[in-house]
Amino acid sequence: MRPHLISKKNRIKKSLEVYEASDTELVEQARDGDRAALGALVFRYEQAMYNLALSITGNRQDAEDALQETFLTLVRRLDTFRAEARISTWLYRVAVNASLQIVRKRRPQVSFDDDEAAIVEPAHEQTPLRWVVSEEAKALLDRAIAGLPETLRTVFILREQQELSTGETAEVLGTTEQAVKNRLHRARIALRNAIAPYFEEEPWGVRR
Amino acid sequence: MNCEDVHAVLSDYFEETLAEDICREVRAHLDQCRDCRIYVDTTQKTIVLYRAREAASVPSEVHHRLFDALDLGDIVATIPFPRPKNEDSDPLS
Repeated sequence: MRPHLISKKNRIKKSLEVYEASDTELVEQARDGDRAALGALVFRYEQAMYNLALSITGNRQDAEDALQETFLTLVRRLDTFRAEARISTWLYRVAVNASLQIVRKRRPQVSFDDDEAAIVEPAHEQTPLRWVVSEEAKALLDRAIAGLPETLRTVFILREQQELSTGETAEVLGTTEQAVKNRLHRARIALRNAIAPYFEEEPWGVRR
Repeated sequence: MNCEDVHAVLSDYFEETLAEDICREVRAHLDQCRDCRIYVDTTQKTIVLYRAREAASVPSEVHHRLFDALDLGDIVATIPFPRPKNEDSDPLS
């Protein structure tokens, strides 16, 4: 029976069922051909995957392409998905790879150090905490994140934006927890240095 | 602890995974070293800044094109999915 032929009462019942279902249950049902379960799974993760793709690619069109590629891969590979694997980890891995592939295909972008950031005058008259919530600060930070090397940026996005644990980030990227910790720290320091001119005081009298 | 010692453990200091006694030594150094104090303070402000950023929501047309691409366009139109619970995301709090 096609979904739009289900009565309203049954549609709401179905909607609540898939809302309550665990990821594992949805994967099993989707594999058995339950399209509502597949839809619920996509719905559950599209927001996270879109944000991830948008952060890595820095571009809405590329983010949409990566988003579609991620879930098309899910549909293609649903049959081979191991029951004991976590779908979230698996989706993150596919989305990271899809996004990076798109970025690598593009021509290298001008680094944020080169022009735009340089012409912005430091806002010394503002207190750092007031400045911290300003639009200007957010824009500068976005450019700084976009300017991070790929390995640091990916770890930074998974840990800080997607709020994955160190262990899960390591699993998604196929690396060690120590490598994740090191890269996150390097990313933080790089971002601090990028916005350092905006802080009222600087240590050692120079940017490090 | 000198400045170098402090920098060697800063990653764990920011993650709040540093052993309590070492943490106390770091704080003791920060109390008497202005440069390290500024460095740590500005890094923490940077962390506050990017954690305060809001995530972008999926634009409606992107959402619909995704479901169409997956041949699920009829599903999204007929089944009212509530926004998912975020049971798995218990991040750095």
